[in-house]
Amino acid sequence: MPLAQDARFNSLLTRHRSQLTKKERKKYIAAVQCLGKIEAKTPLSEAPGVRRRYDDFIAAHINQTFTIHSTGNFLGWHRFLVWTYEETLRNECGYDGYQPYYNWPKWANDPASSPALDGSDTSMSGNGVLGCTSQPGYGIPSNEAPLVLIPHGEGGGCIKDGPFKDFGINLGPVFSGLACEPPNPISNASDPAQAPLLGLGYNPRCLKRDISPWTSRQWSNDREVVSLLECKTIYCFWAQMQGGIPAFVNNFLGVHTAGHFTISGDPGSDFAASNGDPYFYLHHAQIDRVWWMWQNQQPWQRTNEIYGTITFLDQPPSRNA
Amino acid sequence: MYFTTLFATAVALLPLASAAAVYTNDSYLESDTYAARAWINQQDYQRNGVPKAWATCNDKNTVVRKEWYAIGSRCKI
Repeated sequence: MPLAQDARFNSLLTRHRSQLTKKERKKYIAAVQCLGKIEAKTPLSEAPGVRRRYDDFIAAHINQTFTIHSTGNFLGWHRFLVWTYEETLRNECGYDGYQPYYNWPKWANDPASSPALDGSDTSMSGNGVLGCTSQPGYGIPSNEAPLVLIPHGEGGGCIKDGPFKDFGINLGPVFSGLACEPPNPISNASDPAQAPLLGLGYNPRCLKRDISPWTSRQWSNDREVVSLLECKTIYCFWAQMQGGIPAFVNNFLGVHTAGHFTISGDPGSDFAASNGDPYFYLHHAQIDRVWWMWQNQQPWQRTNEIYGTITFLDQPPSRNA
Repeated sequence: MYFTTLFATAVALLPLASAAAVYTNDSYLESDTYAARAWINQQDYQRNGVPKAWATCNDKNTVVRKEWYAIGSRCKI
């Protein structure tokens, strides 16, 4: 039987026609908000700024930033993070659904119009108010030495509507693209007492966003995702997803960084504290989905393949992960 | 079996890949056709004696993750 007539195949294709019900979205939103209300488990000695269960995940991401990005741990560690987050939503907040993903290319032309980011009461909140206008844009990989400069959009300030308007963030900034943030009380890298806890001090503030169609149109559109999925090796897939090797030259961000800078802001643009914005988990569920799609083009060969060492950009050089 | 299915899938998906050249919210994305192929390959992978590390509808499996926008109530990619 031709596969186009195969019920399994057709059912897959019709799924994108259907809409997540508002009730389903609200259940997910309520569960995330629950994580913002229940007690943290991380000892204050390890992360002095944690105040709620949601912060535990941010602290873990900050604490391990240089071993989970641009290393062989990148894909697997983040898959595990999203899974543990999903499990926590279920086990501690009564969520009975699944972790949703944000399908970047579907909304690449206008991410602020997507049901995930439109600011409605069934979204993950929308854009920020106009803010931090003294900053012309966001430099990648840093404002100090930008290889790509994302122009300031219509936001940059506190998110103005939707369920996460008052959610806030307690940790960071660490390596934020937004330069208007109050520094974290633990931010002196040259102090041996502070260095292991950088960015983990208590620093409550609002969530800020600066949604950037300029970014998503270029680097997380359908063509870019297909190009990534056409990679023949895990090295190609791993590197291209993270902006190439060396990263971000030739005006290329890759879907991973582009997904983060689709919302930008604080902590969305923060290399270390980015999961302080709940959108992070929809973005990384899509990262995980695309990896799964790539693996399962040739599952016998690709299911157990990873690439990379255990140090950031292999500096200092280290063993394979 | 695997290669036969893969080939047949690729042939079946060709018209969809062309249609996906129009990027609107209501059209199929070419990238999503890879998800369909992945799902079918995963079924074959499991059917052919590979340990079921990726069991269908296992809620610890990304195969059941759902898109914020496009969601039903059944197990899906």
